[in-house]
Amino acid sequence: MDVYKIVIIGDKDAGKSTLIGEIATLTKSVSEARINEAKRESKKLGKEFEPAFILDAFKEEREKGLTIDTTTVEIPYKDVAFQFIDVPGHESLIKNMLTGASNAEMGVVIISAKQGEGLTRETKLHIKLANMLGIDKFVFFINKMDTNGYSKEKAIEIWNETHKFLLPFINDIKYIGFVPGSALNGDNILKRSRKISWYKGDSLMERLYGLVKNGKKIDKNMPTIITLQGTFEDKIFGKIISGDIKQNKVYYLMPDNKKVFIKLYEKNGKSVSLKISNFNKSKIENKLLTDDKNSVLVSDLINAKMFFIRGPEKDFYISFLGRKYKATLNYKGNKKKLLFVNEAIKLEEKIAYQNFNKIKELGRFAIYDKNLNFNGFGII
Amino acid sequence: MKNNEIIKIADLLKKEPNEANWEKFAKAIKKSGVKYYRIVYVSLKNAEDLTKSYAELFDAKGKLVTKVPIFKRGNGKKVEGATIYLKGLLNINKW
Amino acid sequence: MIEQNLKELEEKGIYILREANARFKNIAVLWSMGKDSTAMLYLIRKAFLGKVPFPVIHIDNGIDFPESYKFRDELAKKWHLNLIVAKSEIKPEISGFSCCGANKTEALKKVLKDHKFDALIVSIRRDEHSVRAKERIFSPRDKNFKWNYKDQPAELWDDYSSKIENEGHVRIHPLLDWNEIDIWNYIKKEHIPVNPLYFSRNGFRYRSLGCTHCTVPIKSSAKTIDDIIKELKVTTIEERAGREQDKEKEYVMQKLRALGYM
Repeated sequence: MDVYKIVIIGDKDAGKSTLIGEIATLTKSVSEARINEAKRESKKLGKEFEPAFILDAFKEEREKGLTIDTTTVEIPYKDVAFQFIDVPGHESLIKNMLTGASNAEMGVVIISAKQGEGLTRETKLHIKLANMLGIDKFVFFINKMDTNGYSKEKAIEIWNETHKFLLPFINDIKYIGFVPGSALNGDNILKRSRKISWYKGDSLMERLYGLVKNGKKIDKNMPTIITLQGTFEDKIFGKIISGDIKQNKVYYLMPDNKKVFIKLYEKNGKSVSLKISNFNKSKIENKLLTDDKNSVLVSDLINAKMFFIRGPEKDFYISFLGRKYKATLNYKGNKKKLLFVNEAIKLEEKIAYQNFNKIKELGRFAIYDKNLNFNGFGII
Repeated sequence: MKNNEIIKIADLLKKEPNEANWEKFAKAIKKSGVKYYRIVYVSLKNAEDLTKSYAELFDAKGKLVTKVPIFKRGNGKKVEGATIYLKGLLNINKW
Repeated sequence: MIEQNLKELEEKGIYILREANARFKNIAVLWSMGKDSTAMLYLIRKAFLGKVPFPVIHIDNGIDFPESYKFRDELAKKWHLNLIVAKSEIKPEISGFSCCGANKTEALKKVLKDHKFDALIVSIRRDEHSVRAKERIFSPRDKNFKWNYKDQPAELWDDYSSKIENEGHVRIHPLLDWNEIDIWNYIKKEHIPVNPLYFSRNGFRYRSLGCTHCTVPIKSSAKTIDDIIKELKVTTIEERAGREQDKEKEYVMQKLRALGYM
């Protein structure tokens, strides 16, 4: 079965937990008895009901309150499975939110239609970060429609507000969907609800299913690019991130721009082991092979859009293809927390990379501060 | 009876569960008709408690042949588990 | 239970293992002769051209199943494993689990220290227990084996942190995304040797393995891997929550005990 990872963004108060709980119950992925037990337990502990509680079968774990990190719930649906990733909302836990969202293919954003709630600042930040991490499909679930009589006007109001927020980076988004409903009453979650008669679209689960089914595009004529991990005996381990291995072709070791000949030794999907002629074994880590020199760029001065959790510094590290490089940034603006910066950084040595929207594996890096503590990420 | 040997060594072990006797046991078990084991724990709060527990050994028909301890007494009176010497036998899965 | 794509799981597992090999100098593998750690040894052989190039540690409290000892010694020979048997003591334990838990941790700490291992490959899966659901692929432990779950490293995309806290080590979890049924499907597909305790005799079998003291079997007639897979598919969540709840609780408690020392 194919499993599709979906990050769920939204305020705790917007009804995230209820939504996940409702999806789990309706699809019979978790028994109602267990959900009710989880609700009872959380009440007993004086805690708010969180999705994590559905998974926590025993008191010990709930009492420990392990809701600080990401939680995943796997939901089978028709012939696929969704892995919903719930991420913490608090600013201090943004590192965990980034970890959880970085592997998702699409996002479900929950916005409450209740008076006084709506699109929050935190949700806006998460949408922006999720998109920057590479998520380009979003379904906005307008929740709590039961509190306004399933009003079309209210739904459109939120629709417009969200659209306005997305405009500055709309070109980086491939799909935007809206589904009005109520997690509490199960409206438009699994099935279309008659209560929202003015809405002619499909339910949330149906929408997600449609998106994954139409998802995978296979790009033909892609250059072959293999990122190298390390050596073992006389072989080299690598991962194919583009194209496929063709034997007896000339490959270039980048960023060195050295011609090499490769012999495929073993292949396990994209993980390969190779024999490479014509090179110095000790210096291949984190480099890459390509059969088309023009498929990558080489430089030590990179222009990137970066997000700094604790604010930008002059000297820091980036982690690119699993290796850390010293980086320098000349940033003249305000140095505050949770900052987006569009600037050039200078690296201690040249790397072979590519623009994120061309080859994402070669266009992204994690950011660490001087002391090697995680401080954000960047997109080239 | 081919189980005489193993019964004799089991008695030795009950008195002196040292390494040498366990080695004898390991050799003899292969030649005997013992096929199954069942371990009975009385309690297990510490290593000394192991001395109260034991393993029952059964033949292919499930008949009890003898009992042995499940600990080894090393030099300096240290108690160690010794279920490894029952290698080759199968759990009888009956309680 | 959701059956995932084995090729993709295997490919990712191999990638993770090779990353670990590139980042750490002194890696060891933890083996309990259970289905997960044995499948993991097999995956390691796939990743490293048929070899297990790291020492394999068995934390032995002396009262493991005779079948497990036999399985261990035979497979160690067959796969040319560099086996380190680290003996753990049976001591009084606060939580009442006298054979697993803290005592195995002591033995593990000692073996890591003595050999200066900086990374440990461990076969835990997210679906085993909600606590494990929070783990990272590369998960650091400090020198006291404390898992700082409140402040885990970031793991963006397939970038795994390899910062080791002073005197600590990093746990590598190549099977984190695998489900129980994926393990069995993989064992079936690749003909991986299986500890005989998993198969039914006299109406009982073991679903998870601890030592002879803390492991309780389940009622089952599953005699083959196909039977086990069928059994897993049929045991719906409803059944577990309802009639079988006690057994499920016991099963999970056992896992906790077994995993507790990690």
